[in-house]
Amino acid sequence: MIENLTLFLILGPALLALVVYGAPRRLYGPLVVLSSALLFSAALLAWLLHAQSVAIALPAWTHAAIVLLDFALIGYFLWVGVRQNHRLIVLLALLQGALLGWVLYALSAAPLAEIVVDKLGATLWLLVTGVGGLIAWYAVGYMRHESDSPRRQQAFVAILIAFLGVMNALFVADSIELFFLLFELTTLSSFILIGWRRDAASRLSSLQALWMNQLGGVLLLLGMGVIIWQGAPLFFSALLESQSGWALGAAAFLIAGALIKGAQMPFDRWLLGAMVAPTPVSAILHSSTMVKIAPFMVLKLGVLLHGTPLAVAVAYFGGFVFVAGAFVALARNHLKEILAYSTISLLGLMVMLSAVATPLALSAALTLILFHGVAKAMLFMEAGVLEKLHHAKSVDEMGGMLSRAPMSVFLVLLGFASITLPPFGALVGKWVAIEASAQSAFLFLFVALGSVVIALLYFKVAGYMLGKPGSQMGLTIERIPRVFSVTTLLLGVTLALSAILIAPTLVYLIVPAIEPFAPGSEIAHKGLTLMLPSGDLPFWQIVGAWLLLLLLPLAGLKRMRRVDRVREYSGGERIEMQPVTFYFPTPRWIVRAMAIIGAIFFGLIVLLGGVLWVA
Amino acid sequence: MGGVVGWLLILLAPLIGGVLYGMERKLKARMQRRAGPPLMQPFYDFFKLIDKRPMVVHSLHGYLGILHFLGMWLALAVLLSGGDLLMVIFMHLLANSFLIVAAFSVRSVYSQLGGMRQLLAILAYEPIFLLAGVGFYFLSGSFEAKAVFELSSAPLWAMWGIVIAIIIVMPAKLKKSPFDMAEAHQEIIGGAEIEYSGLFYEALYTARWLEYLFAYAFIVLFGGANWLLGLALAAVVFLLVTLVDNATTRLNWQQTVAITLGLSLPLGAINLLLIGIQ
Amino acid sequence: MRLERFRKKSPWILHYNAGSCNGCDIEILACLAPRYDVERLGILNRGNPKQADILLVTGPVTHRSRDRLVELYTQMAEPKVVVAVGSCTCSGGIFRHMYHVGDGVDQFIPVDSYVAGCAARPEQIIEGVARALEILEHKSHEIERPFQLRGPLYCSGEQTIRRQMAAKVSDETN
Ligand code: SF4
Repeated sequence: MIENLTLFLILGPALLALVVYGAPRRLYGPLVVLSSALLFSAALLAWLLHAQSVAIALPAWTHAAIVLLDFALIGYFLWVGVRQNHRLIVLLALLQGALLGWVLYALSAAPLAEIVVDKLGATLWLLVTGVGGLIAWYAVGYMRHESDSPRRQQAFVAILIAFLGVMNALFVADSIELFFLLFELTTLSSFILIGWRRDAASRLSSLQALWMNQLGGVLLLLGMGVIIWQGAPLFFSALLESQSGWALGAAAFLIAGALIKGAQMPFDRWLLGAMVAPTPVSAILHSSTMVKIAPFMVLKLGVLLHGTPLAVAVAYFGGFVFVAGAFVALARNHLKEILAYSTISLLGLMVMLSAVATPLALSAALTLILFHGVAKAMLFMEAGVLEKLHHAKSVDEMGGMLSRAPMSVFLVLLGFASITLPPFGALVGKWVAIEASAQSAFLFLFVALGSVVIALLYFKVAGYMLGKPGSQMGLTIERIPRVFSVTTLLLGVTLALSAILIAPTLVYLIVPAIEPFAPGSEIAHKGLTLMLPSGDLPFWQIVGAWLLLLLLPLAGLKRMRRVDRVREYSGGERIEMQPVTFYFPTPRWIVRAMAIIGAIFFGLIVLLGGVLWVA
Repeated sequence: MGGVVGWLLILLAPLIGGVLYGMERKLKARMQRRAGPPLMQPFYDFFKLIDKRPMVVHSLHGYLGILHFLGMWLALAVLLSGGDLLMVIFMHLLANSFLIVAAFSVRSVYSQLGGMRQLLAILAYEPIFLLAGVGFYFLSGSFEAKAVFELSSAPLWAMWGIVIAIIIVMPAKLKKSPFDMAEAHQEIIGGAEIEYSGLFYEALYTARWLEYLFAYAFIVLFGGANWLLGLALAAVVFLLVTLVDNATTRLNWQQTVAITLGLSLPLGAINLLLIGIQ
Repeated sequence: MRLERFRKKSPWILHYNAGSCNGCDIEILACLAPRYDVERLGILNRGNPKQADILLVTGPVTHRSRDRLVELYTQMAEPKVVVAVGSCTCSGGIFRHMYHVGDGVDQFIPVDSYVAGCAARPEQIIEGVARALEILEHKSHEIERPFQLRGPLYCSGEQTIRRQMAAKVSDETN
């Protein structure tokens, strides 16, 4: 059963994408909804039925297909580089080709299954198909506001759906060879989707994203090369079992490659550029799923790393990015850029936790991956709504948005609150994170500082949206196309419900996924009370905080009676004041210093890879 | 704490906080060689404020003030019931977030400036309080306040650096000079609280009492099982904060953040490191 | 419990200078300073009309300060009292009949207590405030409106909208 579901989750999206692309205009919307529902139910079923790891061996001919596809992709990149006259892309494509050729030449067949479905993979499927499906649906509505032809709109949604299959496969691939192909496929989808709008900015951003991700591919190939050099089988499971130094070296290269995919500094630029793409792209690729490859890779190899200098380097790198990303975001003005940098920042936290690799830290990392995915997807979708319906992109244009678009602002606030405030999943993840990272005083400092800066960032933006003109009496209820409101509300309700049920959620969703490879996280629940080894979160606190936050929107709807309405105080003057936001312009040298520190860390990880391999 | 005593304290928190606030005003006056208001002055203010004609700028703003008060009480309840110290700090952030959102929700430059400065004040003190939480964890093996009260040797001795760091950021938390930029009477006229009046200002006023109790209860933790020592420490800090409030002038936010973080964060970090080594 | 009792135990002050010579302002500050220490009576200078019970005005109300005075007055929540501090505030004093002043605060807003003297002494000011507090104790919650520069007061349902309660000079024909 699981085998069939797995095949459906991996290959199904491609087929469904073809159907969606070919469907007549009238049917295409419902078809997208149907395929999303199908995929999510399959993932849910797989998650429910999953009892132990299931290995699926692919037939021999798939190996040839993988090789063929690999070279086709590299060839395509080469062609792009030549046509756009981009030397770096050409160079990297050639390098990739050469490395791949060498790896394949030395590769010996191993009697291992290419796909291993573990509980972690099954849990991540829930995120990919759940959030991804909703975003595909949302994209149907979003693309209507673009100037594209109907056919091209359908193509866009189809690519998004097909991409879900790639992500599904990626999270369960055991063969590194297969993983590389999927990695390159995500690079391809990033490239195509960032360049979707075909203007100059899109073109530049897409090329930048391409070469940086190609570099990630090169690092992956280097990692593979290390494994091949030792004559070991090219599989994650085999890598995890070998204890020798070269395995760590390979892991360092693999992780470095994945970190680029996660836009960790100094490679943060490509994700920032990616924000020119239509918003659904940012929502699915560049915040909730694809960039999660970085923490996922560290999470997967975390057990191997545990207690090595490499783990220390990666953990500090992650911690540094957590703080630096949040600081850079403070100086940004466009909502999507702010969201992008806070994504980079939080990815840093997840990487850090995955590298700490105690069972508790891994649970915290997975909690963050899941809840950040849901929250960020919702935030990006709302950013899209604000952009399309209210023509507001920068935070400055969003002053007083509350009176024009109360529901969107409310959902944005919910998204922000879910990352910064109790009792939401991401905050509880952060709480677990501090309890887990407390062993190391310095790592903890990063977490403490970073989370405060993130809170500062979000409240700054939220506050500005709320800046409600005093003279306006009530809220105008906005008219939102149903696709937008249904999809975003579903995510919002998920966040709110998972918040009050956070204890069972952690115990039944997160722990089973982490337990198989890192047992002993000691997370338990009693009713709604969450229990960690170092402290409890009693139900009355969860319910109390939840009720306070719930009262907020209710309070917004209920007008006070028998209370006078007055003007704001302005020193007796009667002038209309127009407040603007605070900026915290980060001096250029700090930004540069951050990039350099990031680069040093990154270089250190790669160097460690080399040293460990040779040693 | 925990148990019946804890819950009794939680219920009576506004009362105790009010007396604490009254004591502070009295002490401040005595330091300036004034007679100062009666000890019960905060309660007189309390009853007077009920009596005023209610006014709001808009409903949401009024409700947010009340939510701020409730949130503060919740944070205090988590602390006094012996809950997880990190959660205590996060709940405190939750309470403050209501006030900040309220500050931004009115079109008043003073209020918005106050909200922004309040955020910066949080940036200034919150990391130190998180640091203290981790320090307690190192000593007691648990993040819960309950466990801290069972420590036989007072955490004060091991956590000297963190204690000093907390004393440094204390004015920022209580909105006292020199770090009272968030409130800044006569400059931005109370900042976030400027648009509140009557009953709604009352919510903020009492929330401030709770904030006092919250901050000093946190200090009492440093006494461990020897809660008398904790109380004595709290009294010393109380005196010190009031003295500094009287003796200094306001700094701007750059100075505030630079001093609090630049001084107390390294201090706390070194202290934490030393505890970690032992 | 009679809440009115507490009105005079915690009077919070808003001080406004409507074009005075600063003489009386200095005396008011002297009241607040340690020597006279009015905080022992629970008096605080709030600097914010929304949280104040007493409006301490000085100055004869120059033309430029008219709408500010009325605006501040209407922003105070009832019950409230006004104390005019200084001769020029009561009647125009040495500025009386000049072209640019309004001859006293009571031309614009209801005054509850007059403190004479040029400048008024701190003892007198405290006395004036104490008188005003007696009046404050017996005031109702009815909205008090200015005499001049009156704007409309809207009622919708059970709530009163006092946003336009103070008119600007430019709103009238001037
Ligand atoms: S009464 Fe005399 S001293 Fe007082 S403000 Fe008027 S002119 Fe100045």
